[in-house]
Amino acid sequence: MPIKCPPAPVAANPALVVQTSILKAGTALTRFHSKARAGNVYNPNTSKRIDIEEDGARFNPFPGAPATNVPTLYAADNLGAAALESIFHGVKHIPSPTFPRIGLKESCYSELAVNDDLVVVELVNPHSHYWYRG
Amino acid sequence: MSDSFTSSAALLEPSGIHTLEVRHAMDKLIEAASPERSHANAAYGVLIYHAAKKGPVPNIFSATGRFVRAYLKGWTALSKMEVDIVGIGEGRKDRIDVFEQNNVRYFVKVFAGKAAVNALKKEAKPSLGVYINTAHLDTLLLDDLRLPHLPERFRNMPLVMQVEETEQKNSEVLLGWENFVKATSEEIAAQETVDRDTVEWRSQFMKNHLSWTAKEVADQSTSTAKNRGALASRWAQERKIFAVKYEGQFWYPRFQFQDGEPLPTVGQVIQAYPIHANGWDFAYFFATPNANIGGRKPLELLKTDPERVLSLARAAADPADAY
Repeated sequence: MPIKCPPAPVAANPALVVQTSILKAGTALTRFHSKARAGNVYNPNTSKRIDIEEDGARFNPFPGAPATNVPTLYAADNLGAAALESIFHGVKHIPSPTFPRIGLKESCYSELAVNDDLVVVELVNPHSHYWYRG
Repeated sequence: MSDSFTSSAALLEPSGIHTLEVRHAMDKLIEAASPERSHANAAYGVLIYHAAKKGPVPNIFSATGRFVRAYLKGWTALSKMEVDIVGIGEGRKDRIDVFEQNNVRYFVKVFAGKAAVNALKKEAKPSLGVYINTAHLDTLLLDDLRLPHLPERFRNMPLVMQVEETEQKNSEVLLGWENFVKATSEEIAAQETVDRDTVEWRSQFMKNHLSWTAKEVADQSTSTAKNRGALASRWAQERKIFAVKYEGQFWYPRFQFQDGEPLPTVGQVIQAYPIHANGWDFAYFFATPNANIGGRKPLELLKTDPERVLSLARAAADPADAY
């Protein structure tokens, strides 16, 4: 399933309403990353291609302007989500999946603190809460 | 429970453990619990052993273990006990009778307050179990043992708790270090499962992927060297190919070669991994269905799309950096 991500438009579409929310300054986030990189450095995605899945899966890279790709990193408000959505993302949802330990050895996690109030795009459909709660 | 079941007692003191006749041990304990006495006798407790059990002589470690378990049970009972402390030691309330936990198979009796000592003396037939004198279990000692302090309302008063162990139940609430032991054994069991799965995966790999010995690698190449093992180990050392160790021997999976020579992509994949990666890490990468290529295995693309294989290897070596 190749990813066909269109380049970002130069001017924003006024009809498009984006729901945002604010991550308050001081919010703690957890993030997994390679030991070779500091915890607050973006993923090394600048030279990666959007048409190769392992180069980005869902969020990155996506082309930016003027940079080649928009710098990204995945962080979560808890350790479990941060681990599941990064280091364990490729693990199959089956009983007793296999997982190579080498990937774990090269990774670590960091706790990040948001310095200033951060405006984030809300990708959560509020109605999905009802489904979640059953 | 009656005296006929009990035979010997062990007195736990700061100096060690002493096997005594039951009544004698109880007298020592009562003495230590008495507020009027000096600190010469600082008995922590008495363990009463079953006559029928012809076990070994009470041992300091097993006695301590039993004492600690009993303390935790007593502590749990005290914490849940609804008594009016003001009433303790007055009139007929000299003996707070019995606190029982219905969901757990043990029994805690507390002797507290001014009249605790007298009530204990009247206890003609000490029953099986552990009698704990809390007077000498100071907070430093409890912290050392990682045991919880007595609930505040029970501190600073003579207090002996008797914990009868009727039977051990799996449903028992575990506290403190017992949780640690449980967690550790679960961890060991989980590790054993992982080890078993790993062995199983490796044996499946060997079944499904033809592999060569070092000599066979040399035979398949055009090498004329006399030392038939040298070529494979030199290639492995140069990180051009990898070997997996299986049943005491090194095996070189055949998919790494074309016309007896290493496929250059294999070396590039190896170099995309950290230096401490071993042969099984590469075997796993090449032979595991990969979601990024629709569930195919990277080894299927070795000859047709080497660039893609390399890109998959980089993502696999640093899984956290893609997201």
